Amino acid sequence: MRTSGQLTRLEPASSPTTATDFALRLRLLPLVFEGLVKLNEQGRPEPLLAIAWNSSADFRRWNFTVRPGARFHDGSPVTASVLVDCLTTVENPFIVHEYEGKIVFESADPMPDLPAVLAMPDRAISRPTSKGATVGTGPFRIGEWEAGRRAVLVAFEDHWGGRPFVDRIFLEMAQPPKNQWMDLELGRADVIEIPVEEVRNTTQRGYRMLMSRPLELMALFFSSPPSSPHDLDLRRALALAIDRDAILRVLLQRQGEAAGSLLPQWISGYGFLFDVVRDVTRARSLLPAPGQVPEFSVGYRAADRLARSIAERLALDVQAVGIRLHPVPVQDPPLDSVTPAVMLVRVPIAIVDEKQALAGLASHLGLRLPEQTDWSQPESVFKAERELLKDVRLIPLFHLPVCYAVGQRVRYQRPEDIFLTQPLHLESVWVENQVQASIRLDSISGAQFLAMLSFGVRWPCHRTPKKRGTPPTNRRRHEFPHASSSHHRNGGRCCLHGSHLDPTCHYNSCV
Amino acid sequence: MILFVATSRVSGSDLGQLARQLASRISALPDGSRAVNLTARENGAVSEQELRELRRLLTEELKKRRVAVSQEPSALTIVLSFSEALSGKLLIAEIRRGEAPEAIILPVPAGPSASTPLRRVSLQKSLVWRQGEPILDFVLLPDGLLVLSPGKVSLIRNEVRGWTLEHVWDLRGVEHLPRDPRGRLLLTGSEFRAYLPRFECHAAVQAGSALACEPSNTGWPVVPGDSSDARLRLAKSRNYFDQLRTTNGPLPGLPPFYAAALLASQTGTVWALASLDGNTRFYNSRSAEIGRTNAWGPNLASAQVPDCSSWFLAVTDSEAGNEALQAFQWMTDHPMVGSERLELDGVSTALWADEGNRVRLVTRDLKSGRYAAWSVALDCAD
Repeated sequence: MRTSGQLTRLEPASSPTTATDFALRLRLLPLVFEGLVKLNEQGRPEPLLAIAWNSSADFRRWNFTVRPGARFHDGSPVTASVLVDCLTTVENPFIVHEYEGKIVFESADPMPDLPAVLAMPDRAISRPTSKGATVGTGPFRIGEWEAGRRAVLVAFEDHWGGRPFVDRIFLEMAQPPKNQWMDLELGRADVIEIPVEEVRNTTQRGYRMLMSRPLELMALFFSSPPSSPHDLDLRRALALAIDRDAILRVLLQRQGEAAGSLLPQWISGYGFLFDVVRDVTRARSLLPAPGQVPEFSVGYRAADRLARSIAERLALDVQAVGIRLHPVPVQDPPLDSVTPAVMLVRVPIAIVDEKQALAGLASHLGLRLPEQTDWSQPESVFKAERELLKDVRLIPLFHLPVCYAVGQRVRYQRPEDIFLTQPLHLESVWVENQVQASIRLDSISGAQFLAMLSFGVRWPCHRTPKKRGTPPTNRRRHEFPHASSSHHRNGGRCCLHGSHLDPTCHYNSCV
Repeated sequence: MILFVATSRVSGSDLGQLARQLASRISALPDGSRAVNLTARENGAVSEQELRELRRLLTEELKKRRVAVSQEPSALTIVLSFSEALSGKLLIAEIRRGEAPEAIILPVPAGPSASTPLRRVSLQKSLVWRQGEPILDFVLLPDGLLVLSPGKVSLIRNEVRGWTLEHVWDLRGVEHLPRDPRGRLLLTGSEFRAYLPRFECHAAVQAGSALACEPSNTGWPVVPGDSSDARLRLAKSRNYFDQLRTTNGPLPGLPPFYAAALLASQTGTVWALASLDGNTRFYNSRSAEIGRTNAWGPNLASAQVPDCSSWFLAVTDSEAGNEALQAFQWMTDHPMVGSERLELDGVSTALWADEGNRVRLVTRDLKSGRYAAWSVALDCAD
């Protein structure tokens, strides 16, 4: 068991100190805390605590209509005034107030992307209770929380979207991967988060997979800008010497994508413009005169087996062009500092929105977004990203998916309903037997972080109630009924659809 | 059912617009060459044909701006490709010069097929009436039915003992029907109104009420209750129409047509006319032809499905030679299938728009020779 990378708090206002914490928080926080809106997998806002919204033509004023009937975990109703109070506890670039039962956001500057801003995890709604606890409105409430060790999430009976299928989730943190596999195989855990390099092995062992889109940027990050043109050339040579394709094939088992950009191709559409091809000749041409061998120490998170493997492979790649790279394990590097000077980092993409995703990545890495960016224009976003990468403080390497292996008892309709982008929709899974089941979560970076989630099950799968995630009952969704063979009734005079003329003559009876 | 179009089309007009925009940007490149080498990168986002078409259009636009397209080594290399992003489809012109990536990126206009799922409708047809005489049109009443046949309008009541012919209004001597008889029957309040060649008749929907007929040249309404009051004028002694008129006057330059259907699309009003040469031609509100198909028969109608857009209904032939009714959605410059085929019992002889999400269909069974009136309902299938 490792002590690092543990989630100490789940509240929206909490500030994770490591990328590992941040990633796990992104997955779990929506189970307990909800915002006004969320972004779907296409990056479009969808209702959560707000059911409708509109803006003025200049995007300086937005009105959000609050979902009627929603309640906090302590039973108190969700109202516009309460939400306004919650929203004003954090620093905002806008004024928020209630007007005629709606939440109104106003700003001197246009806010065309306000729904995406409000969908960010740190904008989720939470409020303190008189007993000092923090409550949200999500499908689960926090039953127990032992910082960094374990937690129990309990199904919220009055959730506006319907009660979750399982009674509770037991979360245990900081378990080594070997234990996770053992627990999965022994049936003590039902879902474990696995490193991407284990995907093929997991599938071969017969386990189902929950796999996200590429949601994590793996990159080499320099703690400071280049000190001289020579330093810049050195970094460029380093970038050109890396054989991403070979790493992708061998170490990553073809999971993920080679990256030359911060945002993955599926979000930006222009990722392919950033070169990822190894060019040894060009790399050598950028290096100083023969005889001088540049050296770097590259840190990686000590518990991250994949990072270690990749760092070692990078060392081999750059050695071929005359650069020496020394992989150095680092214990739990915080998000906001880099020791040593070059670090192999893994940063989660928090949200499926170009601006917010890029802003989040830049913020985590201490980079500054160009101010004059028109976020509505893809070319402008491309230029902003190019600007961020210009001084080679960051060398993107891969965009990686996040993967879970699922035990035999866990049921869901489609894996993409449960996990495709950051939120892990455990409210939509159920477990086959009326027994406790467990889910283990490793950290996104592989081996350090384990969360064990145990489900107390309320409904066996065959009588799963009609809730979110259950099959639609509208048969028209699946087929196109025809009334093409209606025949004569009552002497061959009439048969009308429904009861328009003859109540006894329904469509089904006509077929 | 929601159909996600994986490789969505970019319409011809969009390609033209993109080519103009791109040519303008290329010609304005700082330090830009007056010669460019255009290549295209296929990645499945659009078809090879569309990429070729874009290259052709761009070459033309560049020439207009005095930028030559050349394969000379000195020419600036530009690689064209389409790409999918969260925000939609992008046209990317990668400019190959220098080390830093350089590109012109243009968002492709989000046509219905570009990023939104194509909606579909289900068709349900319900048999309303059968008779040996031709049925030109019919109107459903809360407790009965009006049927327009050559020479008469019949009122049929639905009573406990079954369907009873309650009254017949005699139209003989009024109309001069062509060999292929046509007529339109609409309900306006408590009256029905029969539109016949050169005559218009009306009477209260009540047995024994007086029928009034008068010569008329105002045309037949296309869609009941349509605010534009679009009307069709039947050509003299013919079974086709020669004029389409709205409140703004006749649409100029239209060919004669057997049927017309009107729908409101994302890009404005679209008319479909079944012209005499077997083609169905599509026009915008300025009478400009914006598309054409030869896959539809001469009967057309449109329907508005609440929360599910407007639809063309057309009769098409199946491989087995049977007729079928199918719904189509207008996609910028072409109709796209939006429903399953609803096989018909026989051949269609009339298809008219009805109120809301329904159309009226008349078929003839070629074995028995009898005519059948059907009410076809469209419902959103997702």
